[in-house]
Amino acid sequence: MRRTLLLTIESSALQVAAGLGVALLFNRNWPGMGAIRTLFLAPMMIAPLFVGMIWRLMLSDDFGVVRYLFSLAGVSEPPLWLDDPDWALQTVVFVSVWEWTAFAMLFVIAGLQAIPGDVMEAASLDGCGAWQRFRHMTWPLLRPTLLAVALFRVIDGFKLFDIIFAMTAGGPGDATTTLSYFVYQQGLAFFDLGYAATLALVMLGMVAVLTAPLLRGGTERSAA
Amino acid sequence: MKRVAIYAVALTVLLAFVAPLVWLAVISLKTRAQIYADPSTFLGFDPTLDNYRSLLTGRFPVFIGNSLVAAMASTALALAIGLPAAYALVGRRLRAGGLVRSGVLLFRMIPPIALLLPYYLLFRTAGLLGSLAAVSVAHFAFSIAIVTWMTRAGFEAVPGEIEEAARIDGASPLRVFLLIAIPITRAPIAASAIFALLTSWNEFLFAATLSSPRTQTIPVAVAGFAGDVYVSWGELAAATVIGLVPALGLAALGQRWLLSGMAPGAFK
Repeated sequence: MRRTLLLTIESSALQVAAGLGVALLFNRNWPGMGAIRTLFLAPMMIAPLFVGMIWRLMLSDDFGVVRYLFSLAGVSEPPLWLDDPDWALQTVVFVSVWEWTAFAMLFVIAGLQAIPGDVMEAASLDGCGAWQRFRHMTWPLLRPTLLAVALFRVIDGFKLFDIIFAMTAGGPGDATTTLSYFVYQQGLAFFDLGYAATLALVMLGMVAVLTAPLLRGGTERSAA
Repeated sequence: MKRVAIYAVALTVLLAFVAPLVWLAVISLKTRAQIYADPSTFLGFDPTLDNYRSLLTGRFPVFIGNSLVAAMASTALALAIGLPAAYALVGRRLRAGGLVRSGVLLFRMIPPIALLLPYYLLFRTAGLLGSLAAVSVAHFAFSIAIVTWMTRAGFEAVPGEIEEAARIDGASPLRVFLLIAIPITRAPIAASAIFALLTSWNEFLFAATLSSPRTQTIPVAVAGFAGDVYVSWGELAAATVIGLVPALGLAALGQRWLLSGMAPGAFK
């Protein structure tokens, strides 16, 4: 429960922040940028289940490539990412950020491209520096987009299942057992269907409450 | 000068994100022994296409076909029903539109697991369990939420005057919808179709539960490579690459629409 909230909020925030950064970087109509953007979408084009499996392999303790890279960097005893209860949840966050930053980037770039170029030009003619342009023009104009992205990321973060299923199966212990994984366990592994259905409804309520401020923020903006 | 720096940074970021996939592609060219070799080698090995060969001569092509059918059927259905729905939900036409819209969004919020069992029982009663139709219909349920949600804002932007003018000239509502509203809204429609296709292409839980060995989709088949003890990583990597290529191709083709079709207005 607390874990689910932590996972959802932390990963959504990181995804939106990283997506915004990458979008600002990639949002140029230069030759090659289109190809770069398309390739960047690759992580979210793979089935989430595979994402989990790939990372499990890379993080594996005996022959994983991550461990090897760490040893090259001189760290001989990196954490046991998925097997250490203190690290497992953060690792899940990391992998979900890897997978879904592209999603945020896509939306933010779409939002950026919708900002009329002449407005920006006018601002820079009036002597606004890059930071001022971002702070006073891009940011407010982009806010509805960012809220929309955050909304979707929060919803999906709550439902995150495949990665956990493939990487940790909720473990070690119950360190990565989030609500949606718990529902799955109760319903399909233990066949306590009534309990699982009730939990699912409670979850639905929680997502609705959690996303209400985002939704309202977005609506007010666009009404204005 | 500044441009070179930005390219450099952009490429570095891209590389950092794509590195795991490059490594995956490398694995797909390795034999089992090479995968488990310590330290792992990046380039210094004899690449082999064995993993691809064993995949493509086995039953895997059938699964690729299944995935294609399920993705296209569910998306086509979602467009056929979702587009008129989104069109009808446009604010000026339907006073209660807001309520229905929240309902569509609510559907996106439901943990899919909650729907799994009802679907299972439903399809069992209908005698469709294990058929590709069951998988397609389940995916359609996700797709229609995506399509309705993403295209509504687009329909909202179609100027009412144009529709009015067409109607005065004697066009039926259906003609207005098909010949005016849809062409104007093609970017969001294309974007939502791409998302719908991807959703079905990559979906695992429902496809796994509702399919039979004959009707598995790619993710379900690939999950089968991972046994409890032994995981066939080479084949898994190769299959992931095979699944990724069409998706990336789709994204490359559709990038123009993805960008213009998702412009703000996801709300309203």
